[in-house]
Amino acid sequence: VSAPAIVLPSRRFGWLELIASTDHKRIARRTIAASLAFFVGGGILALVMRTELAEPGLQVVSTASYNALFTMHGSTMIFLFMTPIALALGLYLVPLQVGAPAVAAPRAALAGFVLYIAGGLVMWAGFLTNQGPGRATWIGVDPLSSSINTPGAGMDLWVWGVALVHAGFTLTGACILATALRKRAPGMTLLRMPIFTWTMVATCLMVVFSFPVLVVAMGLLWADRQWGGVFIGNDGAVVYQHLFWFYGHPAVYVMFFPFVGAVAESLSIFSGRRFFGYKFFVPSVLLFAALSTSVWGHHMFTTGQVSNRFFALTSTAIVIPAGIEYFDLLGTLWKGTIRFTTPLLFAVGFLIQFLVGGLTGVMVASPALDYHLNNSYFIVAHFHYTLFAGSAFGMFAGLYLWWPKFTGFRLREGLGQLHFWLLVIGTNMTFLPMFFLGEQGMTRRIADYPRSSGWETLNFLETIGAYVIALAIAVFLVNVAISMRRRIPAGPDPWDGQTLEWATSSPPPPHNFDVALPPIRSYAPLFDLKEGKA
Amino acid sequence: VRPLKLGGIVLIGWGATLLAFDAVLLGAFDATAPELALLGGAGGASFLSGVVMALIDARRGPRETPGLQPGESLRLTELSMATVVVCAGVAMIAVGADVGSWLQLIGGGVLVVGLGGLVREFLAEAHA
Repeated sequence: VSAPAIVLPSRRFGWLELIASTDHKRIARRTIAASLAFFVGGGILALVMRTELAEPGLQVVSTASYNALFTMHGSTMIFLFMTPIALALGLYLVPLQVGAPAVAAPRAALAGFVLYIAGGLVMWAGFLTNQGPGRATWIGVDPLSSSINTPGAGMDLWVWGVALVHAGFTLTGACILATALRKRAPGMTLLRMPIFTWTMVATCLMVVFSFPVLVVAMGLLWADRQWGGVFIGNDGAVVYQHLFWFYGHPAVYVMFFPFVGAVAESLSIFSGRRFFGYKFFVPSVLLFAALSTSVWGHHMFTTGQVSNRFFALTSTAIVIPAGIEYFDLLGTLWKGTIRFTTPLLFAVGFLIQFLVGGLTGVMVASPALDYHLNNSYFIVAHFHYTLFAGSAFGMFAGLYLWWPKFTGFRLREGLGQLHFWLLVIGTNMTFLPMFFLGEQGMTRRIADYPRSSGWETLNFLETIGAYVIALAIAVFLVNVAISMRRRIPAGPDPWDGQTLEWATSSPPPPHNFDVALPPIRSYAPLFDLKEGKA
Repeated sequence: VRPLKLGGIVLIGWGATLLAFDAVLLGAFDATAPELALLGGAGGASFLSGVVMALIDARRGPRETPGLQPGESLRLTELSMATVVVCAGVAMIAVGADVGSWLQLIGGGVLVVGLGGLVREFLAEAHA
């Protein structure tokens, strides 16, 4: 396939490129850097919380400060770290994987990044206010988030921060979706798009059609805080929860699908095989996304004001597409020539640990069990196994896999594997005991617990685990620093990749491809080329 | 090549699935208005977007994939300071709702400048 003509402006603007570049790769790299910075910030908040909970009594913070800590920890990790880094991977890779010279609507992609940064700073600016930042939980639950129960500018800034960030994500998601659907290179039909691109399509469908609801919800919440009369009484609180969770549950999968895609690419590359069951995976991921958009009411079982049977049905039905995807992922490894690199380790870690989060999700999808477990540490354990033990491991699989493409140089394998094992130990030491504490009745969002409860030992163990996680992240940052100072050039295709991003230089030029694209006959055109099938 | 193959089918299919779930919710369960509206709204929006995309593709004539074809050229946008200014204006107006109307006024001015810049950028691209 001959390359289309690309016309580039001749002038260069230097520092202006730093803030105003519309190159999707630059925007994505900046988003990844910003989200990792927010990750460190949110992690520090978590360490303070875990230090407080290490033993009974209030030693480190007051209860009011603790409320602000868990609100800002959850908000930062979900709104400012995991969601943006998931979208950033798609923003960087989808145009490359479909053979496009640029992202669709590059100005909108830039606007998405600027709104994300602005919203994040506004949210964190709450720490500078007299009454502190938002402290009405990461879901801003009404009526706790009303101006009577949570007064102060910090909470208002939280509301606007969340609205700005999600307006930005909606733009970013629309750009990625439009790129996959509208910018594909000749030969790249829908059923030749790589697995990662399909997971991004599913992700962005949810972003585009559910995230705007949160922007509206935040606007209404702000109006309610100013003048009242929006969310009135019990019905008002339930309506707020509907609006929030219609965003909130798809958001969980927005933080999951891209990393399934990253894991899928890692498994096929490092087992030296084509992805197994492609034609089953594609419809299953789209069905998965549709079901994910239809389950939000399971967060509201205990309100008694939602169709519990419907939401239990759709929530449980998710095991079908999830099962297909797991089968495909494991099938890809079957009889493969496996290379135990760092991305593969993180991918396998994702597969095993996410299973814990997924299976406990089936448990809380049952209203009868959810009534018992709601608001307990069991729920905290469940979602940390999905979002941290699962998604964060998938994210690191993706970062280690594509780091050479993003930067042009490699991360160190030894430090990567140390990072992996420390993270496995820390993650399970921190989050596994939470299942037992929840079952024993420890409720979430408490700064203290009685000495007579018998929860001291497990809480102390969790605190040690949290510091091991911090150590693991420090190893990752050291790895990045060393790799930047003593660079080992990666070349265009360091892993023997299968998809189009490995057909261009590392990092790619502004227009993505200097050379003609290889013939596209399947979802793995480079694999075809190596097998002589192209 | 049928225009649906060019991407609209994904939005139509996904939207139809959500609408089908909404129909099940309406027909077989004691659904509430917010539940039906949210699910139906998202499904309908996706379905309609797909139809619009398919209609646009039908007017563009047959092609296997929708992107840049051999022989076609594309002018890439490398920078857009106006976009940054517009976003800064929007953020100032939003935060100004709490900080004070003075910030909203400044934000409004910044927004107008940014929009003017965007118009200028688009005109420059059209004449390039």
